Amino acid sequence: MSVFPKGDFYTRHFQPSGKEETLVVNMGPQHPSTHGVLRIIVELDGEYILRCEPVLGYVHRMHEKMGENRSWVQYWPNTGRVDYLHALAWNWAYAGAVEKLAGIEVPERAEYIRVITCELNRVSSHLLWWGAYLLDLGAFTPIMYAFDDREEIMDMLQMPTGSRLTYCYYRFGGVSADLSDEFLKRLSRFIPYLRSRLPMYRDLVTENVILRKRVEDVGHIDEDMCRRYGCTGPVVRGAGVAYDVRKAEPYSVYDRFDFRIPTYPEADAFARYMVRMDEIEESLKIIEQAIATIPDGPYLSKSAPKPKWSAPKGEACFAVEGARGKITYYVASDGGRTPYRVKLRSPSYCNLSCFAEAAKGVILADAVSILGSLDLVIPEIDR
Amino acid sequence: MSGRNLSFPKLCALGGDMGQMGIAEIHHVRPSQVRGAASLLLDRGWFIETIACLDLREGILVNYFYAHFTEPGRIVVRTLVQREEPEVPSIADIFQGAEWHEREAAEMSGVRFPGNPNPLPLLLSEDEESHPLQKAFEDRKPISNIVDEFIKAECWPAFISREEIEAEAEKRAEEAAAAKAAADAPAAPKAAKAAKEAEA
Amino acid sequence: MGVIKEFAEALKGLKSLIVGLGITGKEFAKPGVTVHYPRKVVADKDLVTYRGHIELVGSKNDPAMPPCITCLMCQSVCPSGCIKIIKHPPPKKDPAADKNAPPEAYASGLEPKTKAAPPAKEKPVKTPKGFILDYNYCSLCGLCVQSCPVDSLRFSTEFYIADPSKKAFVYDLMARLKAQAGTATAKEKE
Repeated sequence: MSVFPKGDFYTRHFQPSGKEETLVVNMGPQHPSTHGVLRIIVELDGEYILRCEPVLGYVHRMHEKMGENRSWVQYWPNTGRVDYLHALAWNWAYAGAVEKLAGIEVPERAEYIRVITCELNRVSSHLLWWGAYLLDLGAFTPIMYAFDDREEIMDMLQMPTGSRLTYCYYRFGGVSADLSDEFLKRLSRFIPYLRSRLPMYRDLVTENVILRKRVEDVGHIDEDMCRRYGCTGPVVRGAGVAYDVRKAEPYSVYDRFDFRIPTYPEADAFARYMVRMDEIEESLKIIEQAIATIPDGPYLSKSAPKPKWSAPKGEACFAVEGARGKITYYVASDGGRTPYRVKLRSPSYCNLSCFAEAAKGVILADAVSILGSLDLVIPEIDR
Repeated sequence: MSGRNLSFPKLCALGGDMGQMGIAEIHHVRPSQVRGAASLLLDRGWFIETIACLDLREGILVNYFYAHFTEPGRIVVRTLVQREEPEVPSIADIFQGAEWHEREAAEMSGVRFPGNPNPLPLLLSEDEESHPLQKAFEDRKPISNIVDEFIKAECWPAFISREEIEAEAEKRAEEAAAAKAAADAPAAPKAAKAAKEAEA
Repeated sequence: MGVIKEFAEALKGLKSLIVGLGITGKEFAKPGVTVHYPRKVVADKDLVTYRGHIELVGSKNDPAMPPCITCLMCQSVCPSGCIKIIKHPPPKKDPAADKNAPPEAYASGLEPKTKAAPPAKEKPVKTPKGFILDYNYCSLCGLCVQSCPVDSLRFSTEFYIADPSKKAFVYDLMARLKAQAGTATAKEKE
């Protein structure tokens, strides 16, 4: 009996089930497959997981309280730092919520700019997920191919936004800079190029027998489970439900574009993999249509709020489709200088909550495969 | 809001506006009716989006956001709990995903969810005792400061009126002033005494 | 039957591996794209769109002086509070001129018909005395650049900055502008 208590707070609460010959192991917080600082306590019987419990909060930054402490405009940089891989979707969700609250009109060109940049960002997010997922599964080289193409996207997005990862590009009533002709030219050259790369990705990885063995029939998350846990995005589309906020609650100008919602009914890790690979193609389709029809005009509304602006009283909710699922901002205002309440609904948070159930009874190595197929971004979970 | 026919026991239902505020329906329920609403919504195929708490003068307003995979719209089920007894029965056995949302609401806003299978802190550290999203008394606003058009008498039964809130705020301010005066008054003689002692 | 199926599957798997290896081999023969810093640096044309820390823009007449009017908009909008503007002190009033002017007019017993022109006031200096940026806390959101009413701010393309000390990232932007103007004029002379 040691003087010091065994384990920490969470392991002590994770009481052993009383079975003999089981082992409680901490996976993380510094584990390569957790993509950051996520910790999962697992109880193992040999190679099999009896039960597990994620422990969060290692990169918690209290974005919701920060929203109450700074003015409406000053909250902008926070939105790009919630999910660093698809920052523009979070930008958009905040912009949309406040625009809805205050009734700010967005010029048409700005809507198109938002669609183009957000979809481009989605492609880059999926490419990084693709590389990182295969890295989890033990394939090192694919991430280099993904980074090669992603680099081009980041260079392009740098042109209007000025930054490469944590964008702070959208503003209430538009965007902060116009798209240059050079950007549009480069983008229209890039789309056929990336399209020509996709068959290579398929040959290199998707068809690969080793990958198939790792992801097929692993981690079943079906429709009922998605409903009980609130999973959205590729997870629910991988369960055969064609739920996409861009179609379900069409925001901005998405109703003008022709695109398909890829769904796969198998509900396993491979279905989620295929949904994301197909989504890259759909996003390219949207961008292509948007470039062809982008109208001229101002990129920022004339009635766009000034820096010291404060929203009228009321409450508003706005959802966008992020790369990981449904992003919702709920803002409540009492007409004061700062928001009264900002609530962030992050898709990864809900997607991860089903992990404990999905990973029950699987081999530890498959748990890594399930974690990767959920496409987690830890700062988004912890907020 | 018609056609869905969501008939669970509630205080009142209000029509929101999907285009104006992004919420299609608002249902006010008592804390004891939250579970009934949740199980009916699960039966009808709704999923839980999130739980958001607002710290108001009247108490803590707990909002449950629901959305549907095939139907458009968003439903908010909201309940007001008293600050002295902030308890809402847990819905974690109906919507398993709500377990984390409840744990987050519990540590951030100080609402208790009896029946939650794992009521540990989730995002904050385990020895954190304060609730960061609870506001200071003077920062708390009555609900009428945020949404006045949606307040109906039957939605807010047995809750204090605006006059009462203002009277309470005044009383608090007076008390604070009196306390400050009381704190200042003995301080002066004490300082004098200390000075005298120093001289001696 | 089962054996044949197994065999076919294994062959298919093997083929997928060979196809993958072929792609890897092709890619291996391509030239590398990595820039080997510090032996090589990124070309300047690729840096044009990069948004580094903010800097002051020289005005048309005097490239060493910004058109800044010290409205403090950027300082108040900055979410991280990393901009600090030091104003020139307000001009001191000349006490003699202030005292003398009104009594003279009233001493004559007559109201002055036309209001005497106000004593020539020294114009308050609007340009900032100092403009300090604490880059340690800057999140590069661009709100300051957007909110500036006279377009006195822009982003620099400063990319290669590294230092062991935090103090090195507290920039005096006025001095920076002066240095830039100095190099510009020197180039012109050449």
